[in-house]
Amino acid sequence: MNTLMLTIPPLIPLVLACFAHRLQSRWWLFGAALPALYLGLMGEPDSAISLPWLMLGMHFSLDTTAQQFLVFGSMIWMLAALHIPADDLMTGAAGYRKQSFLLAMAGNLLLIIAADMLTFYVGFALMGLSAYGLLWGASQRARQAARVYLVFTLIGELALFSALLLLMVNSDSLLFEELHAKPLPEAALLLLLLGFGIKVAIPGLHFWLPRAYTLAPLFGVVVLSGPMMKAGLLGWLRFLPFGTPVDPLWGELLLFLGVVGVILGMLIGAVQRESRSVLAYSSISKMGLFSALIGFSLNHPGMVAGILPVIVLLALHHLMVKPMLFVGLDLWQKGSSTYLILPALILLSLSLVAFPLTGGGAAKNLLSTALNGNLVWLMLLAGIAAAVLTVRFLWLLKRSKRPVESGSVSLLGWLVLLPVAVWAPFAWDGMSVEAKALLPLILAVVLMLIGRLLWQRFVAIPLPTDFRIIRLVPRFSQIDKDRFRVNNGVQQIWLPLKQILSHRLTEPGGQPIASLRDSAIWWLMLMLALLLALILSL
Amino acid sequence: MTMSVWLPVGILLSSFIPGVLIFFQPEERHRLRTWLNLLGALVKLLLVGVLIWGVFHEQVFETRWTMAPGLEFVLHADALSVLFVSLSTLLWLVTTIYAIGYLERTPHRSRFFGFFSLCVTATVGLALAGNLFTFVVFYELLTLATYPLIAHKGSPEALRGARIYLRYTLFGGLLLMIGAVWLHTLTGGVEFVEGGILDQYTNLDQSTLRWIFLLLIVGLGVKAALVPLHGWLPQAMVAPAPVSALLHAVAVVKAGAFGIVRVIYDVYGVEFAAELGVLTLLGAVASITIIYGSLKALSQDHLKKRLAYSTVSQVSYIVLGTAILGPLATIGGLVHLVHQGVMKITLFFAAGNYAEALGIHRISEMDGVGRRMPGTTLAFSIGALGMIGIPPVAGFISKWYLGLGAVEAGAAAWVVPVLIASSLLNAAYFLPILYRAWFKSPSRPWPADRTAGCARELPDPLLWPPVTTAALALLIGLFAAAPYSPLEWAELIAGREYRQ
Repeated sequence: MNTLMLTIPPLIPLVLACFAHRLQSRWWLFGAALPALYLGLMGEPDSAISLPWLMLGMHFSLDTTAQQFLVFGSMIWMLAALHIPADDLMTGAAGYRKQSFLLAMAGNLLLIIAADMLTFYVGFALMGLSAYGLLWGASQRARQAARVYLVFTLIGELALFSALLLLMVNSDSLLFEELHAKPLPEAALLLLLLGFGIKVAIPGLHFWLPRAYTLAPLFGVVVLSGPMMKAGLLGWLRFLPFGTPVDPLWGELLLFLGVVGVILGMLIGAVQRESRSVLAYSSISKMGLFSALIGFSLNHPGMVAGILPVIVLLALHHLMVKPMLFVGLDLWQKGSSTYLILPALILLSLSLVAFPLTGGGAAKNLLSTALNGNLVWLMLLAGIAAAVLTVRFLWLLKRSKRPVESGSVSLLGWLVLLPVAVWAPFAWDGMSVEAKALLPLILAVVLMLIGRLLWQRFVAIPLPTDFRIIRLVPRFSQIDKDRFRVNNGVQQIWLPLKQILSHRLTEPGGQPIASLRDSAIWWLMLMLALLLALILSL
Repeated sequence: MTMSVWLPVGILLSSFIPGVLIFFQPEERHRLRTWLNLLGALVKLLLVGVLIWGVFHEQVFETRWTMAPGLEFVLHADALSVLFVSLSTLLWLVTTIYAIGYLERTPHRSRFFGFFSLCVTATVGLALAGNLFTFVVFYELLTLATYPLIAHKGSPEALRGARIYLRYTLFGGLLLMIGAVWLHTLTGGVEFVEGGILDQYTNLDQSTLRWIFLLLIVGLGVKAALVPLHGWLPQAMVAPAPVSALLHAVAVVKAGAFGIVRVIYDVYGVEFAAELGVLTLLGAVASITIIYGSLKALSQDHLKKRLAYSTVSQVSYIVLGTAILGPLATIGGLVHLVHQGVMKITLFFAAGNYAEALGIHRISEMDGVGRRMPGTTLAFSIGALGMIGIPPVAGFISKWYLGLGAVEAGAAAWVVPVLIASSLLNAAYFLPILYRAWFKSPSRPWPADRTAGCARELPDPLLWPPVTTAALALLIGLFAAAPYSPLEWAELIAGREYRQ
């Protein structure tokens, strides 16, 4: 194979972007990702090419990770292309969707095959900035969400730029393989965590994500939640000094933030009333798991060889499933072929919660093996989080229908990709049936039931009218009215808590309404104690 | 042998002669004037091509002319002059074409193009100047040749802007002259030598040299618009668009920055200047200018004014690169001399086009202009993204080398934050413009639509210059490592400056 082939995947979308104003068929956008798919499947492993005259010298290489990312990433790009509304494809449509889409795709594919820091950075910047056009929407709030996204992206970009400067002077080479010859400067590590952390949405840097996911057009969310988000993870995999000892502080920090992300994502996601928001917080929760795993690997150089490939597998699985869920949700809401979509969505959800005999389950088994008995509590926690959010997501499905017609092409594409997504990344050797894999799911269901029980008791009590936000139980369909406030995750948690603390325990009349005599409180405490005991015993 | 003597003179004359001839052309001889202009620009381009080749192969091009005993007029081409000469020549050609289109059917065109050519002659002259005396001569000439261009419109506003300009630059010129004469009396004539020359005069008092440095830098800093000497630049935006474009990209502002580079590298020598401790101060001034200019730009609604403050900020990248000791920072500063020019000229061309076609002068009037004038707006966008430092546009390369130089010199703690803050500020004042232009739809009719009935957004001489320079800005960034690129050339210069 000619190594020049390596340049084709990013080049094709880039060239098409120049002529995008004339391309009216979505198949151009669809086809732009085909070379990447081909290269991912057929490319010669470990082929590499250097183009010393391009910018400051660009280097591409095709390792296993790159190939896997190309295969699954390109499928999601194609899926997204099928879901661009016809209006956006017309000449003179507002928002420059086609250009943004193609440029973001070019950037994404470029960074996957990049073999040096600068090429990666160029791809990352191109992808991140072009995505603005994918998130931009007609409504004021969508624009605001896009703006917030852009500000975060710019900050991440500049953090990365500074990190690159330090790394370049430190190692005197742009190439990834020569990057870790000398120990990394601490400042560079921090900047790398920050720069990619924004894309990965670690807690504190995630504020752009929920709104962007809720308000952006479907195809934008699809690529954002799939290939683009995983690009941040890929950045960590490429840049961070795995296998060489670093100050354990950084690993601990990342582990801590990851765990916070898992828990916060679960708590906030579980009270969302819109399916997309639930999926958004589920992403935060899931990426928290990845951050924690990366942090753990940083501090355990001896185990890196086993863990990193599995992290990649898990990432690929999530890269496929999450966008598929978004598309499935959209198809469901549009009301087409319910009998097909509901089982499919359930299948995808099961895969997401690592049900046995699905791709997610296999990846998780492999991960458990690779971790070799470490971090069992984290795996359990992440499992519960995923299960809680998935149950919530499925629960919300029942009332999120909107009677709109949808095209048959898009449904067909989704169904074709479904088996791939459910069993991605085809890690057959991890397939096994173990009863303990169901533990998180059962725990999650129990927790949800308790939570529901509690809330039902609370909601039964008359509320001061200005505290509508407390009505978290979906029986009150005030989605549209409250959407703005509901999206604000901090308020979601804080306001009810405040209410419970200040108002709920004593009604204005002075009557105690939720006291220790309440059986629900005892239930909750019992279950928490059981959970704690379980976690400690594992 | 003769060519090496005549080539620098030829390069000067190729714009001087057309300029003088144009003065005597009657107003209506439009065609002849255009031919003279273009012929001069093309001949100069050809000669500069020969010069580039020669200097690359280490040939010596020098013209000496003793005016009085001990006072020599020297034209000398080294790698640094070639960098600036080729930038001026190329952009002069583009700007001439633009100006011909822009000033069509306006009065006083002979006067305008005459001074325009003189302005470029002075710029090229100070690029080729071989000693401080020659440099000062051309520096003053440039001041005078630019005045009529800024005042060209003749309105009270234009006259006021030009007067402010003259006041500032004459003051600066005076300080420069005093500094140069002082140095001349101490050393008996200072030639520009790669690597500097003053460190060889061990008998000179260091504090005297510091004072002279201060005089020279303040004198040059007026044109380079270092804060607090920048006040004239935003006022000078009353000039016609081609003048603004040339002023900000090549001629006046750049001449100041180029002078600072010359003084530090080829008079003092960067290592010697660092030894004197003057570079830290200069670096601080440059950093303040970078941030201050960007902050001021944020609050401007007038497009050209915002661009003017942006120039204040961006030109100081060059000074900053010069003030940091180390080859990488030198490369960053020098390459920005070219990159900033190409990007900023694009922005000013585009601003001129908006005013010319639709009467847009303010940013708040730019809603939806991207659909109406896609070519111009695309060019503007590339220029703006380059200014922010988005890869692969040229500005990124400058920023990258400046940052590397700072880290290498151990100055990362204050230079990198300055660069980051500047990038953010640049984004904050350029991205809203792009957003308005591309994503918003026009909220009201254009202030003055002059394109009714035109098939294209603008006539060719107005549309192609910004598109060309934007493409250039993209290409010199994308192929930065290719032979004969500005970056390669800056590396060549840095290699020669740090030879010792």
